[in-house]
Amino acid sequence: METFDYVVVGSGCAGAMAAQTLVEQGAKVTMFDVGITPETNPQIPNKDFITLRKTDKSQYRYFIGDKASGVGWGDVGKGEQITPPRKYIMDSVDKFIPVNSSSFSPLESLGYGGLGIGWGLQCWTYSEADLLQAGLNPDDTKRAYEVVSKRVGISATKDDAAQYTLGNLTTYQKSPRLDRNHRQIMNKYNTHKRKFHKKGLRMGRTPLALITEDFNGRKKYAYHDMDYYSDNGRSAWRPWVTIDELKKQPNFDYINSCLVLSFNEKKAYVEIHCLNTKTGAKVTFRCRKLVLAASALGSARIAARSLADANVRLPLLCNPYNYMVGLQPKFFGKPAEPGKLGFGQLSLFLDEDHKDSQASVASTYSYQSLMLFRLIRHTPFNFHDARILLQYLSSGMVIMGVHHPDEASRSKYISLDEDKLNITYNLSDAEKQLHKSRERKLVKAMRELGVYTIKKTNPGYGASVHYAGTLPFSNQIKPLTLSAKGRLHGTKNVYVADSSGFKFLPAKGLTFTLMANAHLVAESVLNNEQ
Amino acid sequence: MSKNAADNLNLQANIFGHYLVREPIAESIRLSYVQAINSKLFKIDRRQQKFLDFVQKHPRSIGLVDAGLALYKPHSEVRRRLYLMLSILEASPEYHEKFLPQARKPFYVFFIAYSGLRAIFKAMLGVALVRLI
Repeated sequence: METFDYVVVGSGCAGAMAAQTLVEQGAKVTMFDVGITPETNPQIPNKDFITLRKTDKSQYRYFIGDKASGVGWGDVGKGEQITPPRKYIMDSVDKFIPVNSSSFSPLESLGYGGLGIGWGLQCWTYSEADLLQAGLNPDDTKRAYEVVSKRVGISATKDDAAQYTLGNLTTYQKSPRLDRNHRQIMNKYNTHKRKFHKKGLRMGRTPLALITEDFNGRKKYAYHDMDYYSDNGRSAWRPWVTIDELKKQPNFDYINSCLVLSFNEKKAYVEIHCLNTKTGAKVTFRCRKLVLAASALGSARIAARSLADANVRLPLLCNPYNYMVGLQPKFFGKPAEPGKLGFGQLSLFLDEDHKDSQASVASTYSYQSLMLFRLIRHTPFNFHDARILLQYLSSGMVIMGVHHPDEASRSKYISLDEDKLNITYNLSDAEKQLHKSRERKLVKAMRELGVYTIKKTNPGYGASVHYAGTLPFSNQIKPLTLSAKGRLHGTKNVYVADSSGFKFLPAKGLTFTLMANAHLVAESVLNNEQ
Repeated sequence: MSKNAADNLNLQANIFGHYLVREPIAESIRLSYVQAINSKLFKIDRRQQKFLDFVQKHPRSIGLVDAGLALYKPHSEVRRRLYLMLSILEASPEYHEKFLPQARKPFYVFFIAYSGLRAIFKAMLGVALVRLI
């Protein structure tokens, strides 16, 4: 039986960071991953969106897919926002990691890079209050933020919302420039910001894992507005950027088509039971230390299969999420703007009680490169007139994604039934009312900033793709919980490096923090900390 | 696919494309539409087939049928096929001006208002029509 030294499971954001920390310290690391890559990847020319739209005869391949395979229909479902070149993010998920739920629709990935393939790059730091509530050590995490920022390259601005977005982060590049829609919003906010402060509102630039200066062989952002389709120049950090570099190191190996099912800890080693996803063969390996970074749902599956009695319930956290379409009349009938930024541009925080960790946040985007037809489908009009109307309105369109914090409760849990993950997720009436009330206030604030909301869409629970808390940190030694250092209680050599341990999920995206945590867990693994 | 079915799809592509962009569509668009429909193997029930037959027999009615179905049955097969054609047209360089935002003069707002009213009027007539078909 083959025996490995350190095994990291999963190639997502957490897996990449944990592996890098281990490799940099000289450990011999093997990454186990299903690692699906696109079967046919359309070559996307390195040009901007408007030029491609006007000239490229093959654009259908990446905008709608061959034979229009990427054109969805029916109600808004999971993966609605995923474009054809990134559809492989969901390949084989239903086959290998099935979910059974009527209330929750998670997005999981077996792709090379995990959910990081389609990540929106938002890199908010958690505040001290956020970190304490999540069960993380504030001082260690702040240090880890700097390490991760130096690795991936983050663009940010120290502005009016810095306490929510940046915290004490010192390593970052300047933010990419705002487009005309967001310049207008920001200018209005800056003129009236005292009024907004009184209402507990703060607005600032969204920190992004996107470089605006050349960095580590990657090219600075080229403002091509093709961010949902291509990673040309690698200005956007994706987990595979790091893993591709690690593959060049002699002490790193990558094994794909390998789905880790469970483990079995022996005295001197850990047995890992895997499924070869190509041949269907079951294979067993051994390792000295096992680091699970297969996402909060994936790691919980593995741990539950390995340690739990049947039908044990594990908690689940997920940021409730809605998105809204807003209009800025000033920009109606303006031509398409070249050089737009497709990622989130501004973040508006609503923190009425000034408790920081309880804030809700609206991230704003411009709508251009996601194509008009996706919007036309949601209008109540005939398609011909809807095209004329939306073509006119689209240059004044702003999309707002609103996230709320989430806490564990008895009505949010997962359990493993055979190989299917059952998910029950229901918000209390009080939570629903609070979210509605906050969304009304955010809509009102956006109106004061010149953006009129015309439509609110609830894509259903699970759509935020922020999952956590399935194996929560615990000071008590209880099964299926983690020590503060990320070790799975009841084991000596099994660690969890993703968001499974978080006991609370602030509204701000969790990815930057889960990468920082992965770095810290890897340090603990190296130091043999329990 | 039988010759009759192929002819039907070609006719459908021409009617849908012309309706959406108000000009005859390129051969490549028609081919893309036929390929997409054949690859997706949409199931059509008798009621939906009736709508399709009706718009193929009376191409000028497509705007009303679309408007009526948008309210009456927004996820209908006719709308699905129209939507497919819309996406194919948008992802073609020949029609970028029909989709990318264009610089408009201030009085264009009157045309937009007219288009909005026309859409509402079509919806009212369309709902009545699709109930009759």
